[in-house]
Amino acid sequence: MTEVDIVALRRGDELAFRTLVAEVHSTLFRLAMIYSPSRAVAEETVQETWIAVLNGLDGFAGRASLRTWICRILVRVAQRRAGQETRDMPFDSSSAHEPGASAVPADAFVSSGPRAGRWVSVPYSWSFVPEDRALSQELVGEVGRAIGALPAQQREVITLRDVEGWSAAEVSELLEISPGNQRVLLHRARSRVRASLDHYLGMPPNPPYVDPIAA
Amino acid sequence: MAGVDEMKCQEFVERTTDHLDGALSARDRERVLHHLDDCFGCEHHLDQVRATVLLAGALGSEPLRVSQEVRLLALHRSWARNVRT
Repeated sequence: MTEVDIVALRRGDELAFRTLVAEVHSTLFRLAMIYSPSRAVAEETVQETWIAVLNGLDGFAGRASLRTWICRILVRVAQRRAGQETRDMPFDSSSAHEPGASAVPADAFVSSGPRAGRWVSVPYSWSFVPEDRALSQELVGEVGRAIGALPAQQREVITLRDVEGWSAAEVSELLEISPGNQRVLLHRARSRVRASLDHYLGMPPNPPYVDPIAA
Repeated sequence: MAGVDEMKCQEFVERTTDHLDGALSARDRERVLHHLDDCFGCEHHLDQVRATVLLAGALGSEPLRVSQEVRLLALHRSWARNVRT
């Protein structure tokens, strides 16, 4: 992230503000979408966030990064709009340690005997994906859909890490969870999305739409 | 390094995120690499995880719509006027 000039921002410099907005807009909008019922509400949430950011600039102490601080404001604004008052999002253990939820269902592995723990049938390679551009684009769309279906905390982590490219440390700081917990959420999220893609790739051409992950 | 310490596929699939983040202990990293040497099923699985991450990254940036930017700049201008006075 480019260094935004806080001094210039506080001074009311328009270019500094436009630079900052351009930097964080994608992240803000995507975070807002996690809590908002529509794009229109998400856009309003983002606008309201910027008002709060400008009014709160004097009080920004620089303990967290500017980007983290702005995103925390956004999550508060979004949750308040959605009628959820508490920002203190404790690490949602139900989302991270879903009982019986593993990266790959247990029945994909041999359950007993000398081959216990090994694949029942070996996963196939997706190596054709990068070669087939049309398929790639289709899969990007499918990934977007699968991410949209995730529980909120998993969706937050995978959006920030894999879609928006934040580091593990930044995500942990924003969500106020340990790097380990952040990784558990990311693991759950990636597992669901991978499984969704796997199912999608296994489908015959032009099937009737079937939700691959039962809720 | 065969024997009791050997990682099985069912354990491997739970360690992919730790592995890609470089968060495994030295010992577990050895076990993962040793397992991948022998198991193209898990190599495919790890490639699938990597492909998933790449595809997510390919979603690109959410664009700032002109109408949104116009509103924001108007908002900023009136805020900035108060700052300067």
